[in-house]
Amino acid sequence: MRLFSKILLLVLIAFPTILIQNKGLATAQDAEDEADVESEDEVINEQADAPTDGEAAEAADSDSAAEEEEDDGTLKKSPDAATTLLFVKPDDYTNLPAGELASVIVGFTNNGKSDFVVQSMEASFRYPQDFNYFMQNFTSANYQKVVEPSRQASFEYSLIPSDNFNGRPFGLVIDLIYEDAAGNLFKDSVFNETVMITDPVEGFDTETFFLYVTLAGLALLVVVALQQTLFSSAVSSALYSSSISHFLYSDQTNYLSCAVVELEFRVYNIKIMPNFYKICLVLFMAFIAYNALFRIIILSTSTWCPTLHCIL
Amino acid sequence: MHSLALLALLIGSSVITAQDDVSANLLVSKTILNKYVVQHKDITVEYNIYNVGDGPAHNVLLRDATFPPSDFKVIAGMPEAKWDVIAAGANVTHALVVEPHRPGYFNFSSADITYKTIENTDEVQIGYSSAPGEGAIYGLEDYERVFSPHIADWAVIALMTVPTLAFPYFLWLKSHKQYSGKSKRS
Repeated sequence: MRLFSKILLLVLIAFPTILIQNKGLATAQDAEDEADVESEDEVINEQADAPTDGEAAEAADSDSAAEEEEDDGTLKKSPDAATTLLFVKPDDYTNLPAGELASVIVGFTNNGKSDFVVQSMEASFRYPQDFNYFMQNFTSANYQKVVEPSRQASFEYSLIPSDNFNGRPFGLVIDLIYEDAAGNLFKDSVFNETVMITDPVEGFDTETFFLYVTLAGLALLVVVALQQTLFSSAVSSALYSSSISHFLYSDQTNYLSCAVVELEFRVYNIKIMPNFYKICLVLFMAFIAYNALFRIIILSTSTWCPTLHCIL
Repeated sequence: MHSLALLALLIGSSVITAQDDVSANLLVSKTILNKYVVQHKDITVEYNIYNVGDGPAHNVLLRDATFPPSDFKVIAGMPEAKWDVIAAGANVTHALVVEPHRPGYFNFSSADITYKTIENTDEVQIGYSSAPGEGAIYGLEDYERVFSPHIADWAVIALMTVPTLAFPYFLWLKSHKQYSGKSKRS
């Protein structure tokens, strides 16, 4: 009986592993099947593409090498075009400040014998460990510029990294897309590096300044409140008795009159506050009002006075 | 045999690199610095030329023929600028101020640049600057409606509010004079 139970236990343990193995085998087999199908498809595609490719190569005269490269689906750069990239802003392109404009100029030289049409440029942030994983795509700039043989053209592209990205590395890829006279598309990755998005260097941050102002105001308020509760108890009893005489306080059940007395007492208490705390309270109110006013000014002027907005 | 081939290769490569070393390569950006392009108001156009090549560029001529006199008036600067030499790694800036005559959409296209990549050559390299692209030129009236300080409008409003304020004031003044006179008497 004991032996049987042991065997049963073993079987129970082994059962799931057998299941998993079976399943794994099945999926592996599926994958193989699919791969077979894919490769067959590719063969068919290649066969179908072959004649058109031949025609294109004839038409393009010299771009046969590029044509062959295009077969695997991804666009390659043309051997007749040379590109150069210059980071205009910032100077150190490996550290891009978040929330600030980064600008590049790409030079395109046509070394071939036929016209090129530069279509567009697009940039994207990739995951630095896996450049196939897209983090953010930037709007592509449309140029449609014809570049004749042995001519050069410059193209400007600018982007602003999001504020949320600071302190992290990103793979920045900038692609230039152009086509030749025969209509074949090419793609040149003019920039393909890992860049660091850094905190923007700011001399004076209004947001943190007002945060501190508000905090200082709150601290003052706490001080005033503490002063009220701690140091007014001695005064309160004296005041309380004196204020009672102003009201008909004979009816103990009349809570309304009680409340009125309380209110009167509190108002009176603020009135007898020392001048220092009164000034503090007024200052706090002034800070809050100034803060609100400042924000309103910024919001209202940003549309017609961008320079002021920038300064503030 | 092998060493000869290697030598030939070395010489060839050195020649190629030497050729590459001296040639200049200019990148030209053209930017409009204004946020709003408005009819009869100045537009500042900035041209930046960067020499990213290894050698100096000679006889550099920047020409912007994209502001036709029928549409634009040149206020300051020249549509043509010339530099004898732009050193390798250096950059120069040129600015032009123009004024558009009429509102509407305008395609701000690229300026042309010609230069010699090597000093002693007749071959002239032609290039295009970057283009700011198509942009709207606001009409002066539309722009004023949104962005002017509206002094005349405020003056009119002030005038319109005068009767509503003046009438009660004179009523009060009349009664005030009456009562203050009485108090003096008593």
